[in-house]
Amino acid sequence: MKDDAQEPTVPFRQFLLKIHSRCNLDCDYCYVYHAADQSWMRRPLRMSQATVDRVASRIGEHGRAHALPDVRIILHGGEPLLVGAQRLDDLLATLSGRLAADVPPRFSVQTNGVLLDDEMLDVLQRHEVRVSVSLDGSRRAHDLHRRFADGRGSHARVTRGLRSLTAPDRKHLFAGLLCTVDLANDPVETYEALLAMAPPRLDLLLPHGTWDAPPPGLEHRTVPTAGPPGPAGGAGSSADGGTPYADWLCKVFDRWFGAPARETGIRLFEELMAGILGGSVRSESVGLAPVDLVVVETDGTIEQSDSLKASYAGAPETGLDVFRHSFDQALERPEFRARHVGLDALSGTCAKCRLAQVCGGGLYAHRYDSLNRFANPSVYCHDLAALIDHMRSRIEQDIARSLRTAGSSR
Amino acid sequence: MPNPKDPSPAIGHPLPAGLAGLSGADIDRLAAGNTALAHVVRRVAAEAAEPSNEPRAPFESSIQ
Repeated sequence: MKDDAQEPTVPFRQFLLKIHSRCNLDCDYCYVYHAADQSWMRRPLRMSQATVDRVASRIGEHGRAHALPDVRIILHGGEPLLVGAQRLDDLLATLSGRLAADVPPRFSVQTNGVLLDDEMLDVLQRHEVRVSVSLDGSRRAHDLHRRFADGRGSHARVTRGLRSLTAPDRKHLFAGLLCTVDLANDPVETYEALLAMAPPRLDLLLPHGTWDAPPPGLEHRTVPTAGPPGPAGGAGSSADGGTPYADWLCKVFDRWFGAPARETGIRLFEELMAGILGGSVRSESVGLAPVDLVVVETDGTIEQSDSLKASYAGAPETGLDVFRHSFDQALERPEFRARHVGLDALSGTCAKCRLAQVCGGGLYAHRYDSLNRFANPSVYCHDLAALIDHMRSRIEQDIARSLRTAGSSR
Repeated sequence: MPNPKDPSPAIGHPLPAGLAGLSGADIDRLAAGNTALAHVVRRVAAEAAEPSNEPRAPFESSIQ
């Protein structure tokens, strides 16, 4: 990893606001409540009006300074809809009103879907807030993890909310579904259960884990990969213990890729495909695009991406807050600058890897171990390599077939 | 400026060997057989033809 002190920075374009720090579900894999970082305990329940006012001023200031054409504001939690419909309406009106002169906001919310009723949806519709919902597949798959504190599954409530969201007059607000992969669930059944909700886009997330605390199914991966994974089928192409996440994802990929018409977008696949084809990869979980997202907690503290909470206690912290610091000051922090330097931010192993431009070292949080911190490949390194190699092979086959067809018809 | 509908002059770097020389007509043919792939091929072609400062894809926010 090189010294990044002189590298130019990319302004923030995405502001993730934690408007409520608690949740009405108690999902056992949640990085906010069940991972290394337990900072939620000391946060205010809700973002106060004074903090919202200050956040709006800071975003406007940042938008003006960088002449941004727009910004994305993502409402998040905990469960953001716990603030209630009236408070949500007020909060969105404040942000829209205060930003109008500086930089147009585009709103979205990430919700567990339990509180998506008509009253809430009317507010979201009034402010044109795009809605992403967390759903893990079939009722059985979803209720394995996504439960209320008393142990009841949330699938029935979530699908009821989704039905309201996908009614004809509101369907345009539906941004997509977010699903956390569980190896215990059948991959194709999971995909088809998600597809039944007609999402415009799916996000398939790998469960959070690090080299210090590997994810389920990869418990043996406790020592960071010493060298890049070899080419498919060649020496060093497979990892000890196999690549169960690649196996799972490849089954979904084959089902999705082989459909007669594109059924939905799957961001992980489409970003990796873009990288395989030589294009840019723009996702937090894969690729080398600079991070343009910043988090504001309910108390106004400025933090890095939330997923770092899975790494170690305090990992996302910057020591800054919106009352005393601008977002430009946050940009100067080494934690953010380190995420703006592409290949130079990767470990020595990743920098030598044939797939570095595509996988980009994987999600930053998944690289962590207490010895090298983030200067490692992802704990999913071999799975990502196996998935990319599989996808590349399928893409090459389809393109070759297309060219053969073209040749025979010319 | 290259035509985004015809990515062959624009797509660069580490392409699968089979993609080199693909024309707009080839992509239309590809789309008829695999629209998921054609969707991404068109995106890559358009980006290569007209680089932009568009931000990263919306954050895949979280596990709640």
